[in-house]
Amino acid sequence: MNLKILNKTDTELEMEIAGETHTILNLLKTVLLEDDAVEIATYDIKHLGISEPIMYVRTIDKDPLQAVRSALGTMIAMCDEFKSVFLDRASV
Amino acid sequence: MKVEIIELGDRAAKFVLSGVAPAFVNSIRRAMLAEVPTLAIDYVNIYDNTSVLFDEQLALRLGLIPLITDLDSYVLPSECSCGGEGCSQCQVSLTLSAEGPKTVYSTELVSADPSVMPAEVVPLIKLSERHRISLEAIARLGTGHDHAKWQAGIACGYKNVPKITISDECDACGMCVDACPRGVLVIADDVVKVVDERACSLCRLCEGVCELNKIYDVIKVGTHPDSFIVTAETDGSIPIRELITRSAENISDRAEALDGYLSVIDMEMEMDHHAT
Repeated sequence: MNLKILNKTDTELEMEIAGETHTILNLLKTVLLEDDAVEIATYDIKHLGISEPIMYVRTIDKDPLQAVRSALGTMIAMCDEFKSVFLDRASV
Repeated sequence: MKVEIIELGDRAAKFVLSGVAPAFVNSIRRAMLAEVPTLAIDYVNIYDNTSVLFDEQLALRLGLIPLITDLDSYVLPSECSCGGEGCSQCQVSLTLSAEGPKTVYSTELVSADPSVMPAEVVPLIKLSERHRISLEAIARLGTGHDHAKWQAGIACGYKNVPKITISDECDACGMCVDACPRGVLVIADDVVKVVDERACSLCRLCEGVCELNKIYDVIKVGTHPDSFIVTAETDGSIPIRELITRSAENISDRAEALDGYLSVIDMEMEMDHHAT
């Protein structure tokens, strides 16, 4: 994975996340939109297979970078919870 | 988040996952199909091939054999300390030599690592009189993203948990019971009852045939928006439990990597801020 910040202001963040796919980004976008401080969270992969995804986040009164970081934290917690709940049920 | 196991074998699993967003289930599905690595034959040295198949066709057939993979003892060539050149950490050699007349099966491959062996008995090639093959195959880890031969998960999918509601206006005419291809509905004591809701394929044929549905909403097929029936299967290279847990680990590892990059940028910005 390779990250390139294309634009960053107090309320906007645009970044190219090379090497990532819908697997992570669609979940990240969904989790971001659950945050009330996030106004827009979207990403685009222009041409399948040749373009790198570009993510755009706009917030109200919150550093967009922090919003993305806390969303990533939520994603990690979701995965850990799923893993432990699944293993717990599977061992019964 | 809740998990209810319906079926759990070595290779296939079916479970209900509830209390999650559709995006999460889809990420798990995508990770199972394309992100969890598995071993597959990637490079073949052919020493002798007098069979009816071209070398390329034979190599393709070898590539598609599922190999039992211990993911703790191998790493992806791109992440290996050898730099992808090939070492015992990132690749395993398998040899095969056979002479006709016979059918050669995948189980005849001799692996340098006894823990890596074909997960399935696959007929590779039929040899006639005086036909010979002799080759060395190199198996490497890879992901389904690059080639289907590295796909550990097969037939991974999910659907929303169906919710069938039948109102009091129902006259128990039985049309919906006959129309349902999955036998989800029955008539008992002059009322239509749902016997196996999860078997419903959401085809809504029952809604269509119901005459009373034109006036009232007698029978309605809906879904629970945050509950999913997940089905997953592996090609035998790794057990299904491992596939499911590793798919979740893969997503969190990627999220952690992205967070790592962002923390560096975060720190740099903080320093710039202090400098000015």
